Amino acid sequence: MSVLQDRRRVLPPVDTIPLQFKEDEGSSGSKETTIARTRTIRPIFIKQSVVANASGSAYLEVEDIKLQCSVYGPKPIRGSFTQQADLLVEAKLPSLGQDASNDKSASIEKDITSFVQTSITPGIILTQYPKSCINIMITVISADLENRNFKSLLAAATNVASLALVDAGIALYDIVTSASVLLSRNENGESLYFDPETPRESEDIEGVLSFMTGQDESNIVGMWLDGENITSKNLTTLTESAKEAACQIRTLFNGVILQEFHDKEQEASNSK
Amino acid sequence: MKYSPAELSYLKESLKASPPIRPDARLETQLRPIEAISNILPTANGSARIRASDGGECIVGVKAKVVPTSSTSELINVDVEISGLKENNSLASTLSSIFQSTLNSSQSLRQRLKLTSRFSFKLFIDVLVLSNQSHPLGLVSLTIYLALLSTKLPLLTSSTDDSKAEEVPVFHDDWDQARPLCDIPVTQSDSSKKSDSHWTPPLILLMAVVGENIFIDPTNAEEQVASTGLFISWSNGSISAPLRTLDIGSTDPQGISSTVLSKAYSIVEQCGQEISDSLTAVYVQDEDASSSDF
Amino acid sequence: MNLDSTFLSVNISVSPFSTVDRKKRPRNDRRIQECAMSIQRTFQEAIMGHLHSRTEIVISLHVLAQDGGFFAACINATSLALIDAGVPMYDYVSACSTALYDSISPLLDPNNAEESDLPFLTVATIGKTEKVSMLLLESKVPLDRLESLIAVTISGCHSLRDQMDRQVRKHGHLRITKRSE
Repeated sequence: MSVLQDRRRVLPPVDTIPLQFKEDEGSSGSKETTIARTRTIRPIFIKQSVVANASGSAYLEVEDIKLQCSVYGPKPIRGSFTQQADLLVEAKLPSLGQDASNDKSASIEKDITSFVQTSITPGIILTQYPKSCINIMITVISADLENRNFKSLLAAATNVASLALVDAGIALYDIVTSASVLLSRNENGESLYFDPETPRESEDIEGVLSFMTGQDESNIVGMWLDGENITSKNLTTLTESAKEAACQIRTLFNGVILQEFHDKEQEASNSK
Repeated sequence: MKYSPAELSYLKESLKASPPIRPDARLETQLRPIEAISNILPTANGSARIRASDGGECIVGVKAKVVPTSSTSELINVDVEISGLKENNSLASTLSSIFQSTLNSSQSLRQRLKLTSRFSFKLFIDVLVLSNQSHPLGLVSLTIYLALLSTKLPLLTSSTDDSKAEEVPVFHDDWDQARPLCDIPVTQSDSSKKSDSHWTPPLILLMAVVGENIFIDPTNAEEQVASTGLFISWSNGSISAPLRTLDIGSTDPQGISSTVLSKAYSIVEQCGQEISDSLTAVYVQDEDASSSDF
Repeated sequence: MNLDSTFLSVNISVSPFSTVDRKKRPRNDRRIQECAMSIQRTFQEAIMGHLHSRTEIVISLHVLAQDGGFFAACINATSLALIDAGVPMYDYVSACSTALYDSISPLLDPNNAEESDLPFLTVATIGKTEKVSMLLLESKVPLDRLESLIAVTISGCHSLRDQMDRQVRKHGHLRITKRSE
């Protein structure tokens, strides 16, 4: 191996440790903001129709989470007749190479894919599109997978997929919105946070739930809870509060979708 | 197996009825009969094989390896292979990630794998699904549970404190001295007075929701008419992570209500102990049989 | 593809826990592929393929534990499984391996440690004949010792064939008694 050594430069001793800077004092403030904000969600930036050649697309941004989703289809499929459309969800993480192995990011991609797929399928009227397929591509442009809450990313991914489906004009029963919640448990009792930023600690329960908020009953379409010793009371609290958060998001979406529609209508009448 | 719309509708109506009628006349909370055996592989630390009555079969081998604790963040590695499917198939990798994250989140399991201040055991759980008719999640979970019950780790003979001087762990030569990974809950009366250190593997139960009814261990036909799949993990006498919905190939997926969710919760609470007890009984029986051989 | 005969396709998967040290083998491992190919060729000759032309038989082998004699065990298992499936065959295909110790004495059925140190060969025969249907030798053996090695291996194959026959008859008897009940 000594042949391969770089002889053109003066190398440091073998046991050198790279220079490391101390954590910035200001960065620890994020936890405090989490505590300050309990029953509200973080501000969301949304934009529809961002990709020209897709049937529908949307962009969503919540602090460090930046997601883009495009919907292709419904397109006809070859081969045998199918009663209803095939839905294909695919998630892609940024391949920046800096963190973890390929293996890990592949498993995260699968987690996002499976959650989004289970969540949004019940919302789509698949029987409207026999012998066709709908492809949904979610691109994670930026997200801190190490230090931020993964459940919030899952919720954001579901939401952006819903918006893109609306933009594509695909027949839906209802718009699926998803919200993440964290139930913190310690000696002082329990406290609940909407849309958490930081991952759970050992005693906490975190989760993400998707809802079709337009329906009164049977409206939970996706669920993923993590945590130990979940009592049935915890379960009820989490579902109720996640529903409240999902309703907040739904209200926001309604406004945005109506506005976009209004803008498009105006544009159309102007061009005439 | 593909069913006609008429067949599916008939099936759905009978499952929605109150009380529901399952095609094989099972109760909502009843599992299909299984044939289970533990400790079948001589080259693994623990192993099990379970055959389901529909022809599904799953083999699990658990192997342990000594690693420096600092070198790895995850002490449990789960790898699922489904016969006849490609290696990086999405069903297989979903199953791997479900079990890997569930087992890695258990603090007491990490504690048990710790050898010295520097070294730990790393567990490699390799799952081989030889055949499956319905969704293999439930079958795989039962087999992993039984394989972990039968897992034995060699007894450490060197000192446990090597914080000052690094020392490679040395183990006892006699395999009979090996300590079991899990505490075997002997009888039901015993489980009430368990200590903090008591640990049994998590059990993940797959359920199908049809209307307001919940069916444990769904067959392929039941999966097709389900609103959604749901799995809840049961560990050490309580409901634990993860609780998730899962796409089990239903033809008409729908949302579920929160009452159904609480119902599923109580069902798992009801049968979790029973299922784990019966698997423990299988293990104890196999252990007795193998010790009487010598 | 020969359309007048049955097509055999062989898949071998080796579990990571099969050896003492855990090792994950890719499914397209060259050695395993080669092994599958040899099994396919050996059994193509042993089955009465002309009876079921334009059909395929899929053989899946899962290796759960191994300590030497990998290839021979695969062949013997395939033979028994084909009989269980009722595929018409001319006779049992039985295989066995022999190592050469000290360049003189043959060692029947070597284990992993012996296989890694000594030259060994694997032979498969059809029925109780001297007809060798497959021979695999991947290491150097003195030519004058080869004949005696093959002879020892063939006798091993014959005794295995008897063993297999006994088990098959036992199993068949069990199934018949179950049916008549």
